[in-house]
Amino acid sequence: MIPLSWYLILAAVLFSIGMFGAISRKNAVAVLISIELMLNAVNVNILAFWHYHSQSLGYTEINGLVFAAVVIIAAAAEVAIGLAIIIAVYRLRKTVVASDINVLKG
Amino acid sequence: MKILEFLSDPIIGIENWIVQLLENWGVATEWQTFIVYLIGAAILGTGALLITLILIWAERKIIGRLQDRLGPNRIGPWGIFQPVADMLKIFTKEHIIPDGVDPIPYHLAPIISVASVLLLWAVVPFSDSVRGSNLNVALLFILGVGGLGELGVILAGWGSNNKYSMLAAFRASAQMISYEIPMAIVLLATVILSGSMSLGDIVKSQNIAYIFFLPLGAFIFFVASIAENGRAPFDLAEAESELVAGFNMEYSGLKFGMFYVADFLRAFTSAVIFSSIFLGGWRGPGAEQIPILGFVYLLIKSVIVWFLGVWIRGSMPRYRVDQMMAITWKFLTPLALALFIVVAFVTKLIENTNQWLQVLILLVINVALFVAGFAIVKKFRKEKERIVVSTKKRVLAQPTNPFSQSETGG
Amino acid sequence: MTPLQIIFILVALVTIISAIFVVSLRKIFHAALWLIVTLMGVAIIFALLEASFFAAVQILVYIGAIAIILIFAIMLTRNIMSDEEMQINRSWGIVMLLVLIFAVIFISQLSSSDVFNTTLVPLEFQGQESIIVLGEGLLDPAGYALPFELASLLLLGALVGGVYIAMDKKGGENK
Repeated sequence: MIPLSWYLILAAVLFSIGMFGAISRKNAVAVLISIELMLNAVNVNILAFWHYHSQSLGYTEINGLVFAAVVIIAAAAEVAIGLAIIIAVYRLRKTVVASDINVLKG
Repeated sequence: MKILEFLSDPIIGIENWIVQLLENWGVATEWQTFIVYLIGAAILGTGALLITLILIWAERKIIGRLQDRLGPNRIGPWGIFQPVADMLKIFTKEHIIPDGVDPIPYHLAPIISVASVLLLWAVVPFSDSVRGSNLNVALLFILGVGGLGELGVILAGWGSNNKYSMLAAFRASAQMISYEIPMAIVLLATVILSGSMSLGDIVKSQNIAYIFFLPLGAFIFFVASIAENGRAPFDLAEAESELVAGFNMEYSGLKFGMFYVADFLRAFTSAVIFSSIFLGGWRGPGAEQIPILGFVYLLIKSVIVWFLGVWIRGSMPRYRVDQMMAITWKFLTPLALALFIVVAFVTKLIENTNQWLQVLILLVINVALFVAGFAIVKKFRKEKERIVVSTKKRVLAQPTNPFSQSETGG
Repeated sequence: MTPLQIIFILVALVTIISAIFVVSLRKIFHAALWLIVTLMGVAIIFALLEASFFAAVQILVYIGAIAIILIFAIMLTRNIMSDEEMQINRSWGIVMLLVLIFAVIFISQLSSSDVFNTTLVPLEFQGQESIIVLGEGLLDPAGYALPFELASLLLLGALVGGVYIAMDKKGGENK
C-alpha cells in the first residue's frame, strides 16, 4: 500500500545525510557513524527493490536478501576494524581528528 | 453452552466482540486490526507490570524464608500489600536530579530498561491462538531486545555523571554482551530441532519438551539468562562492597522504581521464555481444546522456573568479575558450540527414527558433553598450582575461659 | 491514508530528523544516541517491507553490537575533542551544496525510472518462507555458498585483525 517511491526517497535522503557527515565531520568516530548511516540507506534501497521484485515475480527472490546480508556483514567487519584502527591511532598520536592523522609512520 | 465456550477461550471471545462492535460503528478493516492490537498491547503491558507487584512480594518472602527471616509481614495478611505501600512511597518521593547529569540519557535510561522487558511479552504465545505477534524471527527478536537492555544500562551509567555508575555500567554491559553468545548458540540448536524461529511454532513442535532433547542446552540457557538479568550470583553490576550500588545509584523516586520493576519483571519474563522454549509453553493435557488451560500451564511452568532462579539467588555467593567472564568465555560458549555442532549432525543422522529414540540419543550426547566439559575444566584447574600461603598450621586462638583475659587487664 | 502509510510517514520523519542530528550535533555521544534512533527507524522500515529477518538482525547487530561498540569508542577517546569545539570542517558549506546537488540528481534519476510509482502490496507468502529460502540459497553450491563462506572468513579476519591492531604492544614489551 506504500508506494515504492517513498522508500527510495527516504533511502536517498538518508544516504545524502550520511554522505554529508562522512565528508564534513572532523572526528574519526563520527565519520564511521556517518558511514553506518550510508550503509543503512543502501539496505533500505535494496530491500525495497527486493520487495518490489518478489511481488512482481510472485515468489521470494533471494538475490536482494543475500545482498542486504552481505552489506550488514561488511558493516560489522568495517566497524570492528575501523574502531580498532582509531583506538590504535589514539594511543600512538593522542588524536581522533581525521585531518590530524596525516603521517604514515606512527 | 455458549457461556462455557466463552469461558474456554475468553480472549478470542472478547476480541471477536470488539471487532464486531467496531464493525457496527463502521470502522475500516485495517483500523479494526490496529485498534484491537493497540488494546491488546495496552492490556498485556499493564498486566505484566501488575504481575510485578505480586512477584516483588513473593520474591522477598521466599528470600526471607531462605535466609531464615520472616520477610515482609506487616501490611495485610502475610505482608501481601507491602509492594503497594512501597509503590505509594516511591510515587510520592522527591525526584532528585544530581548536578551535572547528561539529561537525555539520564531520563531515557529507565524508560528503555522497562521497555526492553515489556517488548519481550509481544512474542510469547499464551495459547494456540492468543499471542501478541506470531513473529517469524521471534528468537532473533528476543536476543535483539536484550541488546536494548544493554543500552539502558549504558545510558544510565553515562548519564549519571558518576564514576561508580559508569564502572558498573561497563561491567553490566560487558556481562550482558558476553552471555548473549552462548544463549544465541543454544537457541540455534532449538531452531534446528523445530525448523522454525517463531516461538509459536517452537511451542507447537514440542510433542516432547525440548528439555529432554537438550538438557545441557537448557542448563546453558538458564545460566546465561540469570547472567543477562544481572541477578545473583551474577549481580556484579550492583556489588555493594565494590561499586556502591550499581548503575542506578544516582536515581531516586519513580525512576529508581522503574529500574526496580524492570529487574524483577525481567526475571519472570526470562522464566516465561525459558518455559516456552524448553518446557513446552502452553502445551499440556487438554490445552488444545480448552485454550484457557494453556495460560494456566504456562503460568505454572514459568513460576517453577522463576522459583529456581530465586532459590539460586538466595543461596549462592557472588562470583568475582574474572570468574564471571571465565564462565562464559571458557566454559559456556565452547560447550554451547560443541553442543550445537553435535546436535546439527546427529539430528540429520537420526531424522527418520522414532521420536523417543531421538530423545534418548540426544539425552546421552548431552550428558556426555556435560561430563566432558566439567572434566576438562577440572583438569585445567589442577594444572594450575595452588598458591600455598603458609606451610605452618595456623595457631588458633582457643581461650579456655573467655573471661580470663579481662581479669589480667587485656 | 491507511494506518500503514501514517506509520511510514511518522517513522520516516523520525529517521530523517535523527539522522540530521547524528551528523550535526556537537556532542558526539549524543550523536551516537541519535544514531540508535535512526537505526531503530530503519528497522521499522524493514519490518514494513516484510523483511522481518532483517528488522530483527538490524536490532541485534546494529543496535545491540555496532552502536554499543561505537559508544564504547566514543567514551574511550572522548577527552581529545572538547564538545564546544567545531565538529565539522571549514568547507562544510561546499559539502552541503554538493550533497544537495547529489540528492537532487539521485532522486530525479530514480523518478525517471518506470518502477518508481509502483505501489508495494503485501507479499503472498507468509511466515517462515522467505527465511527458509534465504537459508537454502546461502548454502546452495549453485547459489551463494561461496559468498557466504567468504563473508564468514571476512568476519573472522575482522575479529583477529581488530584484536591485533587494538592490542597494547607496549604493555607486552615491558613485561
